[in-house]
Amino acid sequence: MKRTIDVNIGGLIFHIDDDAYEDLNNYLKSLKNHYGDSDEGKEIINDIESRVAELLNERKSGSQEVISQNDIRQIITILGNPEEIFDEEKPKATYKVAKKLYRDADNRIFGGVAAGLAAYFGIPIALVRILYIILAFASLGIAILIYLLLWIVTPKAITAKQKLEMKGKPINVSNIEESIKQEYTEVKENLRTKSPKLKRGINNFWAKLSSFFLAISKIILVLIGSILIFIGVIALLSIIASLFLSSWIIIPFNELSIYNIIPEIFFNSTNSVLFFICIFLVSGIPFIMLIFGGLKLIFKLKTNTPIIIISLICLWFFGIINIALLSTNQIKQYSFRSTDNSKPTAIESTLNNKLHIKTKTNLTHKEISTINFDNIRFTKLNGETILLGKPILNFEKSESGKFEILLKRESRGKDLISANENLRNITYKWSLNDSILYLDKYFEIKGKQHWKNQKLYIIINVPENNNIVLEKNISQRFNFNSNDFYDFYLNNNENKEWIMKENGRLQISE
Amino acid sequence: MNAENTKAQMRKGVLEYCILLILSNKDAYASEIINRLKESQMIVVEGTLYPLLTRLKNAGFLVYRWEESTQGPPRKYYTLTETGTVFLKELEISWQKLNNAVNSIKP
Repeated sequence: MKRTIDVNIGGLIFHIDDDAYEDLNNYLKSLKNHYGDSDEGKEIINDIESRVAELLNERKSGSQEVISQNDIRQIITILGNPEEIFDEEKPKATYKVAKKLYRDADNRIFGGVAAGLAAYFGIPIALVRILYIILAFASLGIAILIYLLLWIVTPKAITAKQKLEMKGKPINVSNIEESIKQEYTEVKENLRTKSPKLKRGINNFWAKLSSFFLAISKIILVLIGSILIFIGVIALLSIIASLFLSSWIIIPFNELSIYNIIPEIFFNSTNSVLFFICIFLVSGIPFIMLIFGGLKLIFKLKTNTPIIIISLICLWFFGIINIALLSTNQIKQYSFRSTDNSKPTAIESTLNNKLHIKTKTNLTHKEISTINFDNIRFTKLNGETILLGKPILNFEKSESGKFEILLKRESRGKDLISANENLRNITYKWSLNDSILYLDKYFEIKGKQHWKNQKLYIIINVPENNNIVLEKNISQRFNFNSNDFYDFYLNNNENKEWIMKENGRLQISE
Repeated sequence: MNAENTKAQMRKGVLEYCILLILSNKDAYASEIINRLKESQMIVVEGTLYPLLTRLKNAGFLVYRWEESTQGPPRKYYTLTETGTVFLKELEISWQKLNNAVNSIKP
């Protein structure tokens, strides 16, 4: 006579002898210990248990029969001893089909890049294509550049193995827990086969620790990759915008931008195009490399084409060298300076001892917004770019006892002769009407000249104890030396009368 | 070294290939797969199958659905996936290559 136990195996109820129960329990326990606590392990145990139930059911026709040790022994023989089962296992127990990015040549329109991306992320191809077109517009074509990069860099899935990897189960770092568990099983297997003598406890600890770090480092790599791509794209966008579109931000559809002005002001046309290409190369290529690196990190691509990187580097050096050459050439244009003086011209004022000074604008049209360096303005008039400059106005004590005006022109050039030629292109107009001296606001540089740091000094000689009346806001109309500027600036809001003192300085006349 | 041992080693290598082959023919229960393998003398103990099936499923090569059974607890009914078909093809190529290699070595 024996005791029986009611037991639930795989959802079915059985009567079992207690010693048979012990045997079955030990059997299942040793399996459980081997396959572990993971979801996968639990599933395996459940499957085996179900099979046990199935087999027992086949043998026991009536529900009154009790399962004996003999029955259990038979079942174990059929299913296999734990050692037998473990022995039959393949050493590499996990099927890790690491999902890799490939180009899907079977579904291609151009290079199969979109199809490959769709397979990698598990989203429909049409969606990828639509998104990409939108991206291409939004990023001003940088997305197209990235497409070309991917086309070059990503290998085509040709063999069955590669196609498998392309479509395979994703090792998805967004599913951190699963990722860690996967690492854990692998590491544990490695430890088990390599060091069977270590105690289980240490095994588990190291397995858990290293799997955790492995998973985290994968995530970090993807994050870094994304950041690199992000920086690269933003930088490229900014470069394009600043080179070609800068003035659009302030005044839409304004013709003037660095791209338009620099050529005409500094270079002749071939040089300016070259200059621009080189600037784009030098500033853009590092960021293209950044995007490259980011893509590699995220998709774990191998560089099988170092040619691309090498040619990019060469282009970059080409750009740098050209910029250096162009710049030194430009600098040479400024190495010599030449000035000339005209003879002082006497000015007879109808008012004795007093001269009014006003400005006159010499542009026959309203000034369009221009680019404004230091002393030079650039305006476009009838499609031609005109260089205008702000003269520098100085007042000095007259030696001759009369009002006088004296113009001094200055310019730079690659040698003295050129410098002289350049300054002869500076033209300036002034006129005298009764007691008012009208000074043009700008001097003009005639004849499509380049900027050569041209300057014009207007020197007005004022006899001692004579007065001049300056219109208000004069400090904004011309450039002055610092002493005068400060004085005039303080008195900007009205026309003020000034008197020339013995020391050669102007003072407010009461 | 006895032949049984080596035979077991060889069997180990092709077991998953055989499982996928069986399923490529038609969907099957675990017990059907076991019976087929027993008929061809590919396996001796049933226990080897369950871990294999579960891992193949977790790798995405198989899927299963539950089917009620009059003879006992509900059973898993396995189907080969698209990815599984591609993997099977790869295994077939490997098997072919292996076969050719061994045959070419035979005098």
